[in-house]
Amino acid sequence: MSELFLILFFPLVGFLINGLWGSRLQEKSCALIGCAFPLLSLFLLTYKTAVSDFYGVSILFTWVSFENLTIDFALKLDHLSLLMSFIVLGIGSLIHIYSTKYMHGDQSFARYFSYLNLFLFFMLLLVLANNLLVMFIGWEGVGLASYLLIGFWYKENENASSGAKAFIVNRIGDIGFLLGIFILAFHFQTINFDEINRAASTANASATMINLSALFLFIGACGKSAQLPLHVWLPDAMTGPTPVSALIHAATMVTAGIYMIVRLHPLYMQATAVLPLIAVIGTLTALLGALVATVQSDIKRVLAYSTVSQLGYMFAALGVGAFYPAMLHLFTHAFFKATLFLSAGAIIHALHGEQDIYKMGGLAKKMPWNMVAFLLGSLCLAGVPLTSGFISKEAILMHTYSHSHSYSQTLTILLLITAALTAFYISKTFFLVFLPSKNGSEKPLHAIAFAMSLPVIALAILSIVVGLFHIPAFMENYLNLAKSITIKEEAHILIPALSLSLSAFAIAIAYLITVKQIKIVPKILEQKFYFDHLYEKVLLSTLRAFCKRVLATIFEVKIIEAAIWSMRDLVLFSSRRVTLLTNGQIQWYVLLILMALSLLMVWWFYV
Amino acid sequence: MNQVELLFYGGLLIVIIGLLGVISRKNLLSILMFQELSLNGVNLVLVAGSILHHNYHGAILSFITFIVTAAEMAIAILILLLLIKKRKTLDVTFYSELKG
Repeated sequence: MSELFLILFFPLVGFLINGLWGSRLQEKSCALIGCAFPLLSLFLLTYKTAVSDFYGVSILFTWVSFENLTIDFALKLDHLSLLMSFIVLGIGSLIHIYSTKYMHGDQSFARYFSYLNLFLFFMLLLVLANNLLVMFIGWEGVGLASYLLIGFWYKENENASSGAKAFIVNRIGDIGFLLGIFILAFHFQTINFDEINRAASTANASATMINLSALFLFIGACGKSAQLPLHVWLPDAMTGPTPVSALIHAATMVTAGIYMIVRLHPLYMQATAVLPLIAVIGTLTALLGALVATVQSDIKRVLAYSTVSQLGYMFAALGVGAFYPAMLHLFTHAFFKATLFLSAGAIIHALHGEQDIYKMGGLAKKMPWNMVAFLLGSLCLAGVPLTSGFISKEAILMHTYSHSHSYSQTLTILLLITAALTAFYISKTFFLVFLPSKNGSEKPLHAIAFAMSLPVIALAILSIVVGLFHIPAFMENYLNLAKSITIKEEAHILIPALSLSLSAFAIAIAYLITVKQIKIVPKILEQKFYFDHLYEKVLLSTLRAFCKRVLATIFEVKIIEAAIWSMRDLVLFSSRRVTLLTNGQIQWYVLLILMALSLLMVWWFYV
Repeated sequence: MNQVELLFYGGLLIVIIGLLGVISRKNLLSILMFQELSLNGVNLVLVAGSILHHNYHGAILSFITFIVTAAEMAIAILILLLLIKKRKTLDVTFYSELKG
């Protein structure tokens, strides 16, 4: 068994210890166990990467063996999965450390850490999987961990139902994912990533099958990565603890869909009918997410919609065949969004649970370090030059602009508008929270422990650093993903100029609005484009009506109850017929005797 | 068809009529009467058999039947009277204590 399995199973050990004996342990030892195992994994991964390249496939056992389909429980470490593992374990470990203070004093401290470790295990399984089925275990597992953590404070009804919502919406996507696996297994007789990618590039692969499987896998990605129209669960997922939102619903789990598509990008490059769909859905999600984020007042929901929007950016990039920029944006976004979430968490913690940005203000003086971290995260998100966010966002925009299709100009314009909106809402949030205002409460702040500040600062620095030096260029060579686009000459100047001027304009407007307190907000945005309404009014009410009218009255009464009653009637009917034999009437007995006698006589005479 | 055969088949017919009456009638008194009828039919058949076989076995048996029937009737009428006294009815459908 290779070290890869050790790296994978360390968090599982942490989950088991905390899950089984956590309630009997002290809070400190729970925290120690919860943090030790992810850190152990991280160190082992770093060590192995440093001393030797241990890329390759390691097989634990053969899982399924049919005539022409063999599925191993195998892990694969290559450049892509190594990068993702570092994101997962690096950000994951920092968030574990942060959580030790954030969750301090919670009744279910051990449960929290066991869930968090469980999440890391499944996420690593998803990332390191060598075939789609192993990935699917991780895929389902992170969904489970996400559900458990969203509804972590399950005593509040709202939290529990948010968890259920996330689970159900994800389930829709997962069906798509599973169907995609089936189609691939059916058509290629393999679900191994490398073999699928190789088979998809050959000439005799059916284009219909490729498109169909790509479409279904994309539906799965839509569910997990909160794309239109399955994005509704992510904002509600913010009812979970804030570190969870940072880890699962911003940095790692929600990027699983993008990771999966990048893993299968040779397949997707052949799926010429699906790629435009991905691009359009990604762009629309980016735009709608950014629009809704502009009117949210809950700081976590602003960030949640921002995540939806940024994930849309990544999908737009995938859709135009820019796999590396999508991966780069995933990488940078993981850092700066985790920074934003963690510093938002620190703010919420300091303000005794206050999440409304309109009730905050003047925190710059009170929490200077946190302000710096949030500022760095915001600058990255807004795409200010010299930050990592700028590089990845410009890369996406330039690739979209240079894409050869006719619709790519429209997409570029929409994405530019999204960039401006992003700059607007994040700077608005920043101004409201940190600049002096009369709304800020005078209550003394909750002290922020060092263990909470450290990860925030570390992530803030990392989110700047990953964009510096030659890291992006190095990553491009390192990942070596297929390229289909050559960037047009004029894009190098045109796109940054446009996006920067638009963003600067947006930031200026945000400043004016927050200073002058002008509130011009379309209702459609406040209602989040009526998606929840739409689902409530159209889907749920139809479903309810269907349940009430059809299931309850017809199916329940006419079929199920009718079946049960008819069974009863059948039994009663037959037993009544049987009891007729012994009805107590002598005459009836006499008749029976006579009939038997006649039969006997007939038999006696004629046989 | 000679007289003996007529006697035999006639007796058989009366037996059957009596039995059918026993089965179909609801009044206990009628049932008893039909029962008597069928017993009479039996007597006829016995006599016919006696003539047919040229011996007296059948004739003697018919006398025994008479006596038994008379004794049985004496008891049956008494039971009937007691039933009327107790249940105020002679409808046999109300007497279903043997019901399983």
